[in-house]
Amino acid sequence: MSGIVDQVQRQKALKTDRMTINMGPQHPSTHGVLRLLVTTDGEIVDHVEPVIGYLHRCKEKIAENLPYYQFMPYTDRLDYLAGMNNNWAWAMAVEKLAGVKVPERAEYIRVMFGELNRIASHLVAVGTFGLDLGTFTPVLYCFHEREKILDLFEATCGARLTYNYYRIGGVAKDLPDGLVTKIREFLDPFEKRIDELNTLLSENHIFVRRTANVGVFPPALALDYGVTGPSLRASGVPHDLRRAAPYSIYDRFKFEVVVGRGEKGTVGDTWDRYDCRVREMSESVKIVRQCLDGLPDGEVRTKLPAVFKPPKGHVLFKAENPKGELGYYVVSDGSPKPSRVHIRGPSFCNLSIIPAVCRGVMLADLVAILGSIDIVLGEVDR
Amino acid sequence: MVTPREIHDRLKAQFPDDVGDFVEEPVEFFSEVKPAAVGRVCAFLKEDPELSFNYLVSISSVDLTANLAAVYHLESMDLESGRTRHAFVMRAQAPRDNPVIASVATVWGTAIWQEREVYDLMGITFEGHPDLKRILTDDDWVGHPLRKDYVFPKTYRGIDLE
Amino acid sequence: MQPVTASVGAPDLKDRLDVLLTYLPSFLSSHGEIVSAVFLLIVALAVLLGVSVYVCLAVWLERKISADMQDRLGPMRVGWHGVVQMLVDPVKLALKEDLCPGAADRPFFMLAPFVVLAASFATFAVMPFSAAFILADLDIGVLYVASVGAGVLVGLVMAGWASNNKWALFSAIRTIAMLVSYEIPVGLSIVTVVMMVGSLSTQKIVLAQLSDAGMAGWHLFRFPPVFMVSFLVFFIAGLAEVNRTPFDLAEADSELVAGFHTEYSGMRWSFFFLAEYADMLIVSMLGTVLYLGGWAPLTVTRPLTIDFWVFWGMAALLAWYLHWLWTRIYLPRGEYGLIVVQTAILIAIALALLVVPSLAWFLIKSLALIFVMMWLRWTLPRPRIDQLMYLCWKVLIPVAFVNLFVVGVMRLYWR
Repeated sequence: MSGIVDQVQRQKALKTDRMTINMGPQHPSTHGVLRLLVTTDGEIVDHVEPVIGYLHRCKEKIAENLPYYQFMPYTDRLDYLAGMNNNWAWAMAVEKLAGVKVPERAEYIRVMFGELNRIASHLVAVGTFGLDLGTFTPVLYCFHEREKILDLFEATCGARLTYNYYRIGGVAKDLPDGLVTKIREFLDPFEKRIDELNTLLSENHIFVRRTANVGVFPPALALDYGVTGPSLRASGVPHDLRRAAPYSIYDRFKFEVVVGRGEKGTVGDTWDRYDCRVREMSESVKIVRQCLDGLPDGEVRTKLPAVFKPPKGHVLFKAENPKGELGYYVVSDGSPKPSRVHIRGPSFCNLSIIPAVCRGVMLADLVAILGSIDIVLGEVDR
Repeated sequence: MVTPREIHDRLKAQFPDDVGDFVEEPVEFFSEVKPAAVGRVCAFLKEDPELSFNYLVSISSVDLTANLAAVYHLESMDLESGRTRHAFVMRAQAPRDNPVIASVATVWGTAIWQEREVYDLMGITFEGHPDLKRILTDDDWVGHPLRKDYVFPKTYRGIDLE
Repeated sequence: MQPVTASVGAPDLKDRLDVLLTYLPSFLSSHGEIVSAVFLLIVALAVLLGVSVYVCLAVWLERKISADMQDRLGPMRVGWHGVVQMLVDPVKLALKEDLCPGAADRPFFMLAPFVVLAASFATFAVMPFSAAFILADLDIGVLYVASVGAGVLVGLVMAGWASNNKWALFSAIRTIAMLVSYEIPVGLSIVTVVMMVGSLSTQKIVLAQLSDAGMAGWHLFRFPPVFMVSFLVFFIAGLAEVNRTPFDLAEADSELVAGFHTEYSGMRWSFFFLAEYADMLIVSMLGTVLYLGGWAPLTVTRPLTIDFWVFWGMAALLAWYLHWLWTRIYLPRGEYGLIVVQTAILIAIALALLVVPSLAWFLIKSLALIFVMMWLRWTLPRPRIDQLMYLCWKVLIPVAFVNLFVVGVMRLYWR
């Protein structure tokens, strides 16, 4: 009896302590050079502090030193998985500031490539999310499909990652011959691939156990931290700028705003964020099809003066990017160069919720939550 | 749907000393707010049941030469339908030699990082921020790069930057 | 008097050989232990070499199989379909620098890979490769595998602790929790077979499964579903024992960077690799010995009797089913050439069935289980550590206990 008492006494005397561990900037699942300063109690995460800035290039300062046209290629390097969407948002921000009209055909082409790039970005998000959970095969299936989209982009603008295709007042040049057919050839089998992904990953029992009810973002908390895009929609808030404040010609297309349903667990859990991206790809396919059907003939670019001076003023323009709301706050003083550009990166805001939701989760859940937010460090650090 | 002008008038009635003019620029309208009052004005904007600005889109900093300004873009979103009920822009200017603005980090979670970013790149100090430190540049970086008079350093920790 | 010839004075080589040949047999026959020791040494080296060759082959196979499942080619440059890759890989590893972190516990850090390797290679001693080919037919054979195999745990914990790296430490903690827990279901399922046979000797367990009925005599198919459940528990727990995906939590690359071998490089790192693949082989071989008839051919005495055709009917069904699964999960591109290839492989196996010796049977069965392990690895995500523990303590152990009880009752009344 006294032996047991001794043992209990000794256990009480056993010193336990929290451990601080650096996850990143070189770590397989921080999606780049993110560093998480994690305080753990055994396997349980006590506190997380993201440390960012390893990829900081001060793009906002660069923008101040360049004419409006020339900042376009730099936007590619923000969210480098969705270069088209970044280009597009910059073009629209300046167009709004200067009141430039865009030709009809250019609008269709912009929507089409924006949505194709959204599919490509979601494919990477979904694939690498599988990778974070320890399954290697889905990521290669996703990259296989993404490759085909990149081929379409390459045929159009010659680049596979940093496109610099959109221009203020339109797009750089018209579609090459036969691209419309090629896009259709890609779209037709693509929806079957999504079903295939669902059998391999979404419905997998281990996958569901790992993601359902993990890292739930309550809608009010998500919005408080400025979480947008699929991560917010997964929490049950059907906020999509393409529907809430339709820019470009989005009011012409029929598509559904995908919302998390809590099918496997709670609304707003990790599984929902994953699932929203998968279903959003199907919606993007619908939009691209409608673009192809309605693609008009005509000019693709409005002629603008070589030295382009928007009038004095300022504007915040937001566009629905694959990761969330990308906003450009542009201040013009009437000179050829912007006086100030501020970039509201969706990944930056989405990442800031991590310390608020990662208290008391397992170390493995932290990786899952991080993967489900789908950040791109180029945009977090700018 | 409430227009920015109506919101401004309500704010003016609530905080007659703290809220300044309503500026109508070609593309965007905004209200001027005193830097020390930003915290309570924002708390009111969020708490007021009719306004309920639950979404801080961004805090952008601007160098106005004499002053440094922070521009707050706010939106009120309906969580059920996902629609934006109304939006509002306000600007707070602080003198360049002592740029201090009241923090809104306790009002919106997203302001924690956004204010750190503004502090890091523009050098505006947010009073009442729980953990105000540099976020994008290194902790020992000198100066605030987005200021117009910023001089790019020639070396950093012995690394030649030119 | 003629001088004596040189051959008389100093005995030449031929004479020495004569002497040796005259006396050696009697010497050896009176000192049998030396013969067996030398013989065992040679055979042990052969097994060591064989396992190393197998590891090289398995790595290449793993790369090719994963490539096939992932719709890509895998190694193609070095030799035909990258076959020579399996020779080049070890050479590359051997040439790499052997690093030891400054803050590491140097002696233990250096020693750990050898402990792991020794523990896993020692278990091959009791594997019955065929009726005659077994290094040591111990009376406690199965117990020996379970206990010596546990030495791997010591090595892994040593590596994790001595690295002085927090990720490696996490890995060491996980390894202890996981491996100690999963020893229990493995042990309980082994006991069901041992109770049935009445011996711990691996060779006796195989012999108990030999019968005229061929496959029907294997433990797996006896008293269904008792031993099928037992096999399933054994295989799942065995996967966890060898740290294979989906249970590779100790080296979970997306969470713990590389776990206990984060700090290792070159040859020392490759020893962990070698041990992992050797462990896979051990679990597969043990599974084969316990449930799949060991070295027994599929059809034991009369190859062309009814059960032969029954077997091939089953095999064809299985192949069709596998292909169906395959097209659903892995090859949605609908490559019908695959059916042709599968049929050809089946015919080749059918022909081989009549001629291959028992050693080959043993290896074929073990490799089939290894293929299943690879298949699982490239399909499933990884569970969390608490879910893994749940699976062990609340699912596998109760199931194994119930199974054990059923076997005990059966043993009372049937034999």
